[in-house]
Amino acid sequence: MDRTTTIIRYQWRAYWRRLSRGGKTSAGNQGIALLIMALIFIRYLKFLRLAAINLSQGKTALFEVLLIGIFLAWLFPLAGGGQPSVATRRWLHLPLSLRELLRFRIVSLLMPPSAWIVIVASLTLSYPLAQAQRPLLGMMAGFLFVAAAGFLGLTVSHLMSIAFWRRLLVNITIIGSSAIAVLWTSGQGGLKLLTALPSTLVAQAAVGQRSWIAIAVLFVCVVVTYRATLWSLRLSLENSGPINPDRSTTLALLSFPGRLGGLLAKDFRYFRRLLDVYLGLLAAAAGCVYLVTAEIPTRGIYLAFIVIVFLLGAAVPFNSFGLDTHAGLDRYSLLPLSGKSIIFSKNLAYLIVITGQVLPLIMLAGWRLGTATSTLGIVEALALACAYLAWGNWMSINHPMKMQFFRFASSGGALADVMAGVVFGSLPGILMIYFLHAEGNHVSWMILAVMLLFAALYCASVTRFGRRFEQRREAIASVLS
Amino acid sequence: MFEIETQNLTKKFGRLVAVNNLNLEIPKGTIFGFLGPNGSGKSTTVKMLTGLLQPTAGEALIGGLSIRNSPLAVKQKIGVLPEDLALFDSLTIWEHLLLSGPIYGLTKAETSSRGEQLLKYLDLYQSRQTYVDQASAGMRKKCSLAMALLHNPQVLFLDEPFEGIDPVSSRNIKDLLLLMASRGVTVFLTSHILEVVERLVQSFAIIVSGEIVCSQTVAETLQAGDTLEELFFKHVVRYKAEDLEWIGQQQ
Repeated sequence: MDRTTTIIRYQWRAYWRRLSRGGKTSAGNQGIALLIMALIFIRYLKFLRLAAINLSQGKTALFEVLLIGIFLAWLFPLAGGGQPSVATRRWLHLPLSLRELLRFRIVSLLMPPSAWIVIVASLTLSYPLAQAQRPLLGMMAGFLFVAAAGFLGLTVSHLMSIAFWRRLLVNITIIGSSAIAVLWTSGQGGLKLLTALPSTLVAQAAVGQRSWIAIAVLFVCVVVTYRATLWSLRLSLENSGPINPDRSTTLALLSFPGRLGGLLAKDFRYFRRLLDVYLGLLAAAAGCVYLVTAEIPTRGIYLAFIVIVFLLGAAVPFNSFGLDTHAGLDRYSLLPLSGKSIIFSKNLAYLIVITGQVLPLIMLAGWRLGTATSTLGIVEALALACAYLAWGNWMSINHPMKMQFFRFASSGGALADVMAGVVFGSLPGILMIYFLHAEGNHVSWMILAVMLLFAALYCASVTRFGRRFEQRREAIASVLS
Repeated sequence: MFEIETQNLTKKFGRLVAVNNLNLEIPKGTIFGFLGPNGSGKSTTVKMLTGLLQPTAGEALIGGLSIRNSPLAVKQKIGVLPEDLALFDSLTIWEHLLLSGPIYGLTKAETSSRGEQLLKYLDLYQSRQTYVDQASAGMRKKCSLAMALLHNPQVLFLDEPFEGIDPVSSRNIKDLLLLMASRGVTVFLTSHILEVVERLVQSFAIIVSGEIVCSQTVAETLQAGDTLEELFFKHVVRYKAEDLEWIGQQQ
């Protein structure tokens, strides 16, 4: 136990030291992740009160939805955050068992403040459960549910570090989402299948419907997910070494022309390995479904979908150096390139990523809403890109934060900076939707003015923060090391 | 005019003076060895000369250009093998060369042709599709070296070029450096392998605690009846292994 506490103590120290290095005052702030989670948490507390009233009357529907929310929330910090201060494989040379390594990993993953919100949210489940007919059995089931969700999150987190499993998980997610969508649209008959979910079992235990059977099933779930966690941890550690020298590159470099083509391709490869990009793709896919299936699709909703796609990927331009390393920053310095060129190449890479997301929407809008509306979407997307990049360049230079591949992006800025960035970034889209809704005489000119304003802000940002990058390169490198 | 020239070059990290009033004058076409124990200021000096670190005071001129005033012009004419190799994760060895060439103004064809020749010479061609984060330390170093050479630099800075390199490649690198020097390229290298430095360099300096304690040519050293190793240990404190009485004792 002594060595366990020693290692955990140093893990804790290393985590906070890493965050506070580089003179940041917002240590522990995980930017957008924290912002979104805090907002959801406030909303969650309101629903919790309502769920408590419902549960005391034997109605479980809202409570079950909250449980599913908690289940997803446990996936987020573990599968999404995964930035242990000292990587688990660094402990491998020490005489530690797999169970001890798992303990260190769990503790280190629960260090970020965003994980604390999930813990608090899980604990607050006891409030509605206390109002239920069988409060003790309900709480026992709730505890087992949270444990199973946590272990499942850890298993996903481990498997995400292995290429084969990562691909498999993506496929399972796509197929699973499609199946749920089919069940949803097929009506109540299909939804009956969802009654076997662990969240339903917790509700059953709380209201006294076959409580012990529900607890027994949940206990089995905990055991199975715990074993899966240990297995996946072993698998991820075994796969950490130099492997597969024949691994082929799916997107060759120099496919982008010009002097900056190589850097652009490198950053494109980096950005597309962030989960935020796929969240944006899901939003774009939803928009495409809307454009295809809606009887009379509207211009406003089409433009709103473009704003949402940008919003979900906001953390990418807000921390564009986050995937680089100290050595990578050194290479930037050795190359005969100005800071402006380096920032510009990163911005172009983001633009390519975002183009991949919104292009299907724009093309479908051309088919369903006409060329003029489709073109309006292009103008909106360009203005949004300019706004997000103008703010993002400032954030990337002044508040860099280490990120990991195949995780959600995070930003090192203060909460207020991130919130302001999201509002500022979305502003051109919101303004355009407003102008179109108002239908004044000079709508086209006003949209053009918005576009030009944000383009000018972007140009100023590249010049200003390109110079600033040259001055702050050492500080950024130190944060990323 | 000297190809590499420093005037009172100084770097301070807070209260720590890493390099203090460094004055160097290295003629064109010279292989210069920069020696010193760990933490003596060798890599800090290389970083200042190559634009990775801003000097606290003093001036550094490369080919007559100030690294402070004309950093891009200097970077265009130098090649660097830095201490941390400065490689990008998730790119292959070959991709590093393809990325680097056009930035120095090489065409795609030139980059491919030169890259292929360099990788073959460094025995890295077969492994060119290996990701650098999965490559061995020696392969990573050779990749960084190939990047330093690709654009045919006038001045080459090499930080520990022989560490972790196999004997064949090590010999090839030495031959290449001698050839480059004979063609007018200036080479500034740091190394802990004193035998190699003694056979390769024309002149050297020893730095201890940020200050030059000895600077002369190899010919002068040999004339004085010294070897480089003997001269090095005259200036560097060495502790005896026997002082660690407890080590190796059976418990």
